[in-house]
Amino acid sequence: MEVKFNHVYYVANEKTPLSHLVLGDINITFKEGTINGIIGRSGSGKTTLIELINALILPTKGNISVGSKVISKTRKIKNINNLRYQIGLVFQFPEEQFFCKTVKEEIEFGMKYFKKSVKSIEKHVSDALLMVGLDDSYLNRNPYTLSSGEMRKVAIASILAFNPKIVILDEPTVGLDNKSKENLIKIIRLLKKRYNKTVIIVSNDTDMLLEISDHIVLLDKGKIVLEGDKYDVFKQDLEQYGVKKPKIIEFEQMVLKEKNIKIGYRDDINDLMKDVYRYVK
Amino acid sequence: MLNKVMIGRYYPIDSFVHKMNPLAKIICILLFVVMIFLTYDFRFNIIISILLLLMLSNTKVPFNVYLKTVLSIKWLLLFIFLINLILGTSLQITIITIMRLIYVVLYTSILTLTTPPTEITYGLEKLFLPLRIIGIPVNKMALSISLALRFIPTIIDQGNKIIKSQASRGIDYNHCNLKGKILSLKSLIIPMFVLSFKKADDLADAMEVRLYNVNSKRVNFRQNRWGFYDTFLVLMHLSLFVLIVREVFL
Repeated sequence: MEVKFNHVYYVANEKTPLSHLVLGDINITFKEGTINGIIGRSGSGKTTLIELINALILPTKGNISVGSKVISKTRKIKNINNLRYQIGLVFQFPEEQFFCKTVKEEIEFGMKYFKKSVKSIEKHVSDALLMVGLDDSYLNRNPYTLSSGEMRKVAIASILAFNPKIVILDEPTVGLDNKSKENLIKIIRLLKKRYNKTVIIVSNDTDMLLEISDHIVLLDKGKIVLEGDKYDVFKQDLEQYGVKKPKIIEFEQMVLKEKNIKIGYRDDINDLMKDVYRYVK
Repeated sequence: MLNKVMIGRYYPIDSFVHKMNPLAKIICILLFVVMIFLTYDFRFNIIISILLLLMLSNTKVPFNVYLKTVLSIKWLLLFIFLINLILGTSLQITIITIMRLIYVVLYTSILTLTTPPTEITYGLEKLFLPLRIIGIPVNKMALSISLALRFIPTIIDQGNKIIKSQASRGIDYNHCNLKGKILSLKSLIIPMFVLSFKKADDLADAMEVRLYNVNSKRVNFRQNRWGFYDTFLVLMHLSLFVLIVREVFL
């Protein structure tokens, strides 16, 4: 499923003295079966961008097409649940959405609203938990007693359970340990390769994005500054936009600058190893 | 959804009502509320209306903001109207009752729209200062009021976030019937309670870590001076109040 932004503007707190432009003239396409990363400093409008996709807020100007559906301020969407059924959105602070007594009810909750049959729900719940790396022993625990990392996993599971076509993750790696992070990266890759889903990740973890994403969008002050292939974007000077470069690219550029030799044309592999050692040290 | 709630929001522009001392505003409100509930006299009601209109126009806050505030209590007004109809109260008294309620809401919204919550607390603290003589802890009261006021926008924001995250999981708050709305409230209220308690705990910890002491003497960041307009308006309200009291009781 493709997501396309056509000249989208969004003004927060419209018609009050606190109104300000959050997003201005956004034109992007998130293609089907790709992993897209959205980066930018805090307050640049990343979260607003993903909330627009889910029709949680409506654009002030312009429209967004998600598959065959078009979201705009003038046209009302008849069955909004049909749209949201196809989009899974995991928010930054997952503890905000928990209210059931057990993890099982929590994961079932979304599916009940999207009218799935009882039999398929049972199977989906344990499958979804397994996908995020939690076993069935978690099913009867209270979601509020979990750690923040586990909470995030349960939140992701509750989204994956109803098998959406577009998966949106808001800062998924914050508060996760290294192993869970690797696990998450595996899940995201699986979503793309096996299920051909569109994945949109809002994150400032550029290392992770370099590893998994295909397409990167850099936002600054509500406008798209850079957009394109991940290598093209990450090689630019990102410091001015408040984004840290991935360590690998930073290292590569450092070597290029200091030694004036391209890594590919080294005479001796030991030289490179020394550089690597020095860098790591 | 909750953005439409206008009661208790500060409207940041520059006007002479904004510059007034909060204590003066609170005294004016008290006098206004008491005198509006004292009189059924037609002439006085007109004078009070003119006073209200003057105050409203001097705040420079757009009129539709006030309209929104009044509209937010439309169900209460309708309820009062219906109850009065059932009880067989005369139409004149019904209208005056409803007008009184609207006036009170409008006048108190002048205070909240033109004064930041911290300044309101300052005013209340100064107003209740004489009570310290009989051993009432005014400082503690002011602190709890300012904390409660400080948490209103936080809780509204929190509510907005929860609504969004539940909506993305399939609850449609806007387009479902009444039964669905009541059921979906559960998914809003439980996380709100849990998070509010958590936030309150965090705040208490943060204050304790920074060695906050309730009993120590506090000073204000902004110096609130008592100006000419403060005296003028308080005297104006007071004289009207005295007139009405004399008319009603003597």
